[in-house]
Amino acid sequence: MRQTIKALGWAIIILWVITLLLPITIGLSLLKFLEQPNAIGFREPVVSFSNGEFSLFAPFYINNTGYYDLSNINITILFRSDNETVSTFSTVLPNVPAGTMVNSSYNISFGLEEIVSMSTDLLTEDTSLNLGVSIFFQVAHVIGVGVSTNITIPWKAPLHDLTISEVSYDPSSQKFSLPVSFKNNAYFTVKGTVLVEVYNNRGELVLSIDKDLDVHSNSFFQGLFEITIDPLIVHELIENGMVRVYFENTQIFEEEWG
Amino acid sequence: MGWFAYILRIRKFLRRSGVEVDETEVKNRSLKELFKKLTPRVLKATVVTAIVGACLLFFWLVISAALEGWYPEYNTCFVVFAWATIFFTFAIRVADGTIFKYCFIIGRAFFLIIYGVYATNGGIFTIDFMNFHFTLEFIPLLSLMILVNLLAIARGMLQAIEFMSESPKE
Repeated sequence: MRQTIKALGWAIIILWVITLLLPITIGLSLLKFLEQPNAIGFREPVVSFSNGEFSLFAPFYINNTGYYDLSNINITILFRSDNETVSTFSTVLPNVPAGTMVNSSYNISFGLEEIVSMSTDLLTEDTSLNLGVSIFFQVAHVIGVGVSTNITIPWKAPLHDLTISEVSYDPSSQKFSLPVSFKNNAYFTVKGTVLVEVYNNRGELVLSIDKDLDVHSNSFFQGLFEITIDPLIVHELIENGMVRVYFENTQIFEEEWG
Repeated sequence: MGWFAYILRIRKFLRRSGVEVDETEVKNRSLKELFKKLTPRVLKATVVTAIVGACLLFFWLVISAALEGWYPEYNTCFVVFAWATIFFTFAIRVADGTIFKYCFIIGRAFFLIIYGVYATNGGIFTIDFMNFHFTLEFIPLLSLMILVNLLAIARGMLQAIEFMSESPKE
């Protein structure tokens, strides 16, 4: 019995020392990691918007100079619109052992439908996006540290001020013309197919024209969507009709006239 | 050895020695002996408790200013912890040599488990600072602390059993 009590006493002392020393050394390790200027660094991000897919590739590195491994590193980004979470992106990064530097990247990619589901204005109006960013990681596989914050970032519309000017018809060439213009305010090049559909007053699809676009960042686009059609159809279209614009099969614009 | 056992021993010794002693005299002697035995113990316990109390006060003065803004419940939690620590330190010292010492040791371990879980919110701290929300998860560490206290309870029980088995019986 005496030996058991003695053994238990030693076990308790050792475990208390571990329980008290572990958080202290973890705290010191974190301080050592965070106080160096190049603990975490970002490299040039690549943003693209092509074929109806928005993608962000953000390479970065973590230089763990602490005494303990960093594990379960999880970065979550929530896109919010009117306080409602529209999209969630969560990435689990590889473990960073103590004294090593790990290169990694954060990839986000979502379709045009998701952008439109946030707000249709996101494609045509400059606005600001509410993002919820949270980072969680474990130090020494024991203590988890999480930081989350809400940030607002400016959003530059890729099809800013999308306008269809007055539709016209040239009887000599029998060409129906739709002048489309917008400015790509976004930081990326807009690549994809634009489809313009024209409906008559009965809601019947009369004509559709598509065009491949490649508009660089901060560039204007002014294009004429032309199609040769029957003068009889044109007659009713000139009075009233409706035009719908699709970008990569997602409707982004609708306007009626007449 | 407990002071009850001590009184019983004196009485037994006097009876065995065949000394005819008046019951009140025995009682007075026992009380005197008890007083003599208890006074240094209480004094010792008071000194140790005062040292522990001073350490806690120093800790509170150093840490409270830094933690108050981040962790508003800190003061209440610390006061509960400090008074419990002072109480158990004093009680364990005074009850030294009695079965109560082990009861207090077990009680302290129970208290530390419940307090640890309650004060740390089950091992998850959350702090809001400016626009940031910080989370600190230390459930494995809290589990280790609970394990240590469970071991302390087991040790206290074994010590109590050993004490009982070694105590003289009337």
